[in-house]
Amino acid sequence: MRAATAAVETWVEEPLARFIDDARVRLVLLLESSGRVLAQHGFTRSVDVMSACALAAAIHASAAEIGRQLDGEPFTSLHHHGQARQIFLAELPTARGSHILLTVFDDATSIGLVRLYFTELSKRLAAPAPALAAATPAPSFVDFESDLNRNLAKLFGRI
Amino acid sequence: MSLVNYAAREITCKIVYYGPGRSGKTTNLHYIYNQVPQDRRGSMVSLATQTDRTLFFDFLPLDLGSISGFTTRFQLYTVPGQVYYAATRKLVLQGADGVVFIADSQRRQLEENVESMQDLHANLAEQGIDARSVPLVIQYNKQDLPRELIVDVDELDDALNFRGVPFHAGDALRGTGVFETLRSISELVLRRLSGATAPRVAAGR
Amino acid sequence: MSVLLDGRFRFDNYVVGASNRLAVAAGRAVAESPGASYNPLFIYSPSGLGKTHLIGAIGFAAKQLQPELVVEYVPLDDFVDRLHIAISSGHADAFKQLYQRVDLLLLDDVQFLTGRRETQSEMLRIFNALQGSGRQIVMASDRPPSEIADVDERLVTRLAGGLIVDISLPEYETRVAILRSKCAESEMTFATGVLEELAKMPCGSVRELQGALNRLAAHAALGDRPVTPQNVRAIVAGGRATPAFGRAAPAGDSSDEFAGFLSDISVAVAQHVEGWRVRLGERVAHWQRKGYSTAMLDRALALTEEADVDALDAAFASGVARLEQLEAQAVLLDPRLAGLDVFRDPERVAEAEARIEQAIAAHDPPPAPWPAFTIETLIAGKSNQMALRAAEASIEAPGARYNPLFVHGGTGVGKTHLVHAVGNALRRNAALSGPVACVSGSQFVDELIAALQDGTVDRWRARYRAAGALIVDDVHALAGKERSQEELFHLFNALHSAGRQLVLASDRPPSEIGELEARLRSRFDGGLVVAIQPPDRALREALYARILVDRGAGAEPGVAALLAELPVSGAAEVESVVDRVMHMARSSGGHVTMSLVRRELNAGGAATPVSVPAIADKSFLDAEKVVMEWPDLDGRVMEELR
Repeated sequence: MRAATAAVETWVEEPLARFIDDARVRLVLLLESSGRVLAQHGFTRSVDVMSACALAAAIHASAAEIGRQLDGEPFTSLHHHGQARQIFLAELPTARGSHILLTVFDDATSIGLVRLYFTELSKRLAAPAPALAAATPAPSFVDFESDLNRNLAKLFGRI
Repeated sequence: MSLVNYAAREITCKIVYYGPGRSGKTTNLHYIYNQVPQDRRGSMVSLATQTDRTLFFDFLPLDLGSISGFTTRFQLYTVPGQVYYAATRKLVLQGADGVVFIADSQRRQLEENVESMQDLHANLAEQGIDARSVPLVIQYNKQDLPRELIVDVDELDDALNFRGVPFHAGDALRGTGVFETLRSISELVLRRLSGATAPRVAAGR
Repeated sequence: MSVLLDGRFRFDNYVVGASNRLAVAAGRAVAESPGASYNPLFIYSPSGLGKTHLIGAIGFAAKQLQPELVVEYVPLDDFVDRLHIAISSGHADAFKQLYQRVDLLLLDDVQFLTGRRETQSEMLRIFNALQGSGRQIVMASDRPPSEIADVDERLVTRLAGGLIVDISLPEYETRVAILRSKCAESEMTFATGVLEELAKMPCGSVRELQGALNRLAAHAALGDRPVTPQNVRAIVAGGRATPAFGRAAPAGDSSDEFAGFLSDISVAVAQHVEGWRVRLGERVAHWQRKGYSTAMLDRALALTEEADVDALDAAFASGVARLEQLEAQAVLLDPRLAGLDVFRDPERVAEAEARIEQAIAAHDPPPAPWPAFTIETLIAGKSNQMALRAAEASIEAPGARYNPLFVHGGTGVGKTHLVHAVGNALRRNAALSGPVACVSGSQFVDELIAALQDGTVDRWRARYRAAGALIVDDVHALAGKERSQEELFHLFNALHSAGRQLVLASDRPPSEIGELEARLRSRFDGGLVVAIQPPDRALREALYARILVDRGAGAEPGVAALLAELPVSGAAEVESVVDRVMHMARSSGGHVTMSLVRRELNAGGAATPVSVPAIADKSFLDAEKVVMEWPDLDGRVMEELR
């Protein structure tokens, strides 16, 4: 499972790689709630990452909204079981704020394992992050559009 | 979802507000929401980012009551404008009976307008729909900004309105042109009642 | 009596629509039995929508029904004035008593109670008195009780304590109806489409509508151009205030924009909702409610061009009528057929008719093969082995190999036995799609004649068409009978193309049957034509042996072989020989011995033609008579029953 793992900020790389190894998942996306990508594993094309992030953010927003409309509590995680593959999408609190993790796996592992290692990942990422000297600029109000695209380009080597 | 159910006497219309990011789609809906009496609308659902950019869609249901014996409901949607959200934008566009294109009159956004209009037509084509058969209306929003910053309506119309559809100047923040635009698209959509069931963006399952 | 109750305002000149249906219904109930149901009845609506007309109608109707009823109509302002006058002139009590004796009190413009404390308390007292004694109060206002400002709580509760109904702005259809009604009343006529066009225009009240109508009337009377749908708007617009369509929302709301939008949408819907679609939709709903499948009508709804709703509906209705007929018929035959899907879809009439046919066949099956004739009881020999093999193949795979199977041979060779045996074997085949029909040619003809006389030919046909296999014995009996041949031709085609086995028997091959239509002949020839010869020696011996045993002749061994020396034409002849021999034996008091047989054969032997006396007794050759020669008792009994 040594496919490419790439992160915009290096401090997430190691915990994420560990998660991927332990949980034996196929695809991983770490994104902000706006859909901006922060790290990915297993994707080969930037357009796929872009679509997946937009959709994951939308799914997360919709699920949260349903929760709010039903009883006031937003839902924080989602699991879809398909014939051959499964999807797990969850809120991931990190030192930098609440993000979203999307992972796709097959019968090489199980949802139980994924959840287990996800919990460990959460703990690691919730720990204080290193100083953000050369960190990515936070999303600006001025050029939202290019903010969305910048990380994508970074991950796929266009910057 | 069908436009008219003659047996049950119901008319249901899905209208999608399209356009580049921050052109004023959500603002249009907010204005409508504030003008419509409470008993005529449902609550507005907005799935947005923390900085209030539409992430997935805004949704505003309008209940226009019984008109000519038909229970008439309008469902207004906006799409996220940024290119990044293309995948979700396509989902929201499905099943649309009519489209309102909100253009940003600012000169520096002219290119974005053009691209968004092309994007709209590309998405329709992808669904196998002849774009010419989908009711479309254009609103040139932000016409209230200083003259130096914006493109005037005629020039905008030349650049964007290659189909010659109805257009309106607008200032969505203050509400100018908002209802005119809505009325315009509604009439175009309802005109299809005299024809066969409206050709529409195919709704996926 | 106030002018309101003079008969100008009645129920029968009040146009009812969705916007006021409830109010009218309540009003009628009150007029019919004041004080019994809705008390008080509170009617509210924006100005000019017909409240006053309605309460006037209530009063007038109540008075018509009960002339001695005390009905009083008073606008609130008048009431207030009278109250003040009464108080200031010291006749307050008289005033109260007057109003407390009213059976039906109609109060108009109740919204003017705002802020009038004294009036309110007086009103409260009157209410208590009236309601306490079961008298009816009806009120009209431009807003619901809860929105009348500054009114005593107790009075509000009173006002709201009965039924509150509103009258809303009439929708397009009702506006048209109102306009038509008003035109009829004042005997005005306009060109087609003018009223409809006027109704489409936004208007704030029925009063406004009336005003517009008056303008049109004036123009028609005084103007030089006639009123057409095209210039209606222009004529009416000259002098109209800005439209104010929309709910009478409490003042202060900026809902004008939305109101304007709503009114424009209403116009758009009215314009574009095509009348024919609405009607067709209604028909669809109507038939669906009755449990019928409306696919045929649904398709018409989806078309671009206007459909002829009446014609479609009529066609649908006649389909439904036919289905009802068929279902009734079916149920008589088999009660389990009631309520089948097929009887609910006018597009499946043909299928329903086929079901009936099946039911008929099941109920009244065609003639069956005689059980006594089986393959097992058939004695095989060289003379009939081909026929027998062909028969067996047909039994194994009906309709697949030899279809039709045509068997021919002289009288008594066993054709009938064979074909009936095939029939019986086929009956055991569970895969057969219907009963096995086995009929003789002459019987076929007789049945057809009877059916023609009764007028039940369809039923007769249905019986045979539902057959899983058809056997016709002595088919040459149809020679010269055109109608029967025609029927057989069609039946043949139907069964043959459905892959069902046909077996035919005759005393001669198809080519030799005279007066047989070429098309039938060719069909008979089209399968396998096989002959059964007169029995050969071996077969004869076997036959003799069996018959002698069956008859209990107690013959000597060797008798059979001896008898078999002589050729016979068929089994029938064998039997008659045995009969003769046994008769001889009985009359000579002995058994059937070889010597007796020899003597018999030699004595009358050579001279006795072994073959059926074809020359001596022609009648024996008659097809019908031959058919009547049943080899055993069972067959004879069946013949008699027929």
